[in-house]
Amino acid sequence: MGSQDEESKDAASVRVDELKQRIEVLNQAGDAELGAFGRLDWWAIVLLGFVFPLIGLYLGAP
Amino acid sequence: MRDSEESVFGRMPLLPSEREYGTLGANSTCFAYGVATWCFLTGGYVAELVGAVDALVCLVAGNMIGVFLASLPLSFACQRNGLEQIDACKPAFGSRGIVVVLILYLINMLGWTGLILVMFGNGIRNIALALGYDLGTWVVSVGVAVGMALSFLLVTRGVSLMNRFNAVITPGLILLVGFLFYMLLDGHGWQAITEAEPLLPVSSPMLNYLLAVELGIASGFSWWGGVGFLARNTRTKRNSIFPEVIQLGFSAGAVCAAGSFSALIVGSTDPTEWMVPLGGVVLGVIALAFVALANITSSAVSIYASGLALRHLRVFRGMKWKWVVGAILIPCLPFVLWPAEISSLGDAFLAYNGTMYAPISGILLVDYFVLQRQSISLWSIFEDGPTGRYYHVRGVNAVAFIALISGQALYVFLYNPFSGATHDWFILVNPSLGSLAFSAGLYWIGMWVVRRGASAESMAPDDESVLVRPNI
Repeated sequence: MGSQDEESKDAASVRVDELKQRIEVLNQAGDAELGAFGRLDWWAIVLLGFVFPLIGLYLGAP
Repeated sequence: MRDSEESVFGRMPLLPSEREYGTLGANSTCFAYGVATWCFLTGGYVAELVGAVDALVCLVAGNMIGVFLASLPLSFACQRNGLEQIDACKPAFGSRGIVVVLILYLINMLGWTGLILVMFGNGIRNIALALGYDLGTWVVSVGVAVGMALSFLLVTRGVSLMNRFNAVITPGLILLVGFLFYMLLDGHGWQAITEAEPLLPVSSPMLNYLLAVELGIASGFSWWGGVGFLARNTRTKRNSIFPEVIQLGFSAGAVCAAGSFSALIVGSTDPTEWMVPLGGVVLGVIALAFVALANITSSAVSIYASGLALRHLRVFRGMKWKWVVGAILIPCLPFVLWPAEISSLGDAFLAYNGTMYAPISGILLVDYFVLQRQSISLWSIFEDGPTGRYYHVRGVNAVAFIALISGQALYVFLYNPFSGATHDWFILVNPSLGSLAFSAGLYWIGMWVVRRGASAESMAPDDESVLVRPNI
């Protein structure tokens, strides 16, 4: 039992260390790693996902 | 960090180098996820209310709006931070409060998974029937069990195998939808489709139209359960949102509309009854087989996302991935035993999507874009102790839950999906959009009041890089 507990603690400790490294990497990541989303993208997605469909629903109403 | 098992199969934030979806992968996965029998079911429901042209408008436009609003906060939060989507809800609902969201989410995901697997079983039975073998309803149960086994194999082999599976299935699905449109247009013509009467309309044309709009938007919100999982695996921000709106919104809406057209022509809302009458035995059986395979892809994605969500519970955190997947499939076993009885609750599950996810999306929109300003603390996401920023009060943000319940109450006040009753205001306020706006507004005001009342000490930033009670 004792060795199982220790193994479990070791595994948890490894996971936490892994997590910390990942957080550090992601916190430093910027547009180069994760891609940019500029003003034009915002216009495009709002028009595509909301404004145009809403206009379509309005025009299609009986 | 070479072994990515913990991140791909667990809740570890996914690093950019580990993400699988470029533009093609994101689009094909979203398309394969979107094109499933549930689209045909939704199309069938809408065919009860309106004709073909209205169904096309309501399903495509409504679906796009629902997907856009559900995806916006989750896609950006999950893609930026590599997070699983229940984790992305922690800033709003609290480090412990998300357990409630998790339970509701799991009920939803597993419910749909079971329904999809029943459709897989029905597809197998209808293939046998088309070939002249009436083997009885037990075939459906066997089909569900086989579907569960195939999904297990797909999910435990990881995202890359699911990608390869999608790469084969997706072209077939494109052909299938083209086949449906072709058979409808060639066999019946556009005029016959547009002139077909709704199957079971209510009193006024406007009410029918608005109900169809609501079904379209609610159908879009029903993707809530998958958008974070998809976005987490994308390499760029653009790929986290555009493929979702285009494929889960537009393409899935178009497929739903193909379902409506088929239902209007055949006169049945059951998708497994359309293929053979429309295409004949040979083409109909091939089409049914593609639908069945697409269902396996969809259920695999749902099971995968549910497995990641289960990692929030302590007992599943260190467990082997295959055992987690096995644990998810256990609640699906009743679908093997009573497929017809449980699948008759499909309407209730669809209703649950709209009432549940519109208010949650409103809360997340305000929280992520207004309160967090698109920057959430990864340290606090993985901190269960009171030092975490998202601990709120005893791990729960009561303001979010008040806003959530109020939004759901408004939805049911405007439109009770279980009884079908509508309030007079239903003509003026769409239930999904109304409950989203109401919850968002309440949450914004509530958090403003709470933050004004908070002391300077309690707002002070903590030493974040020290994890006191890590929840990984």
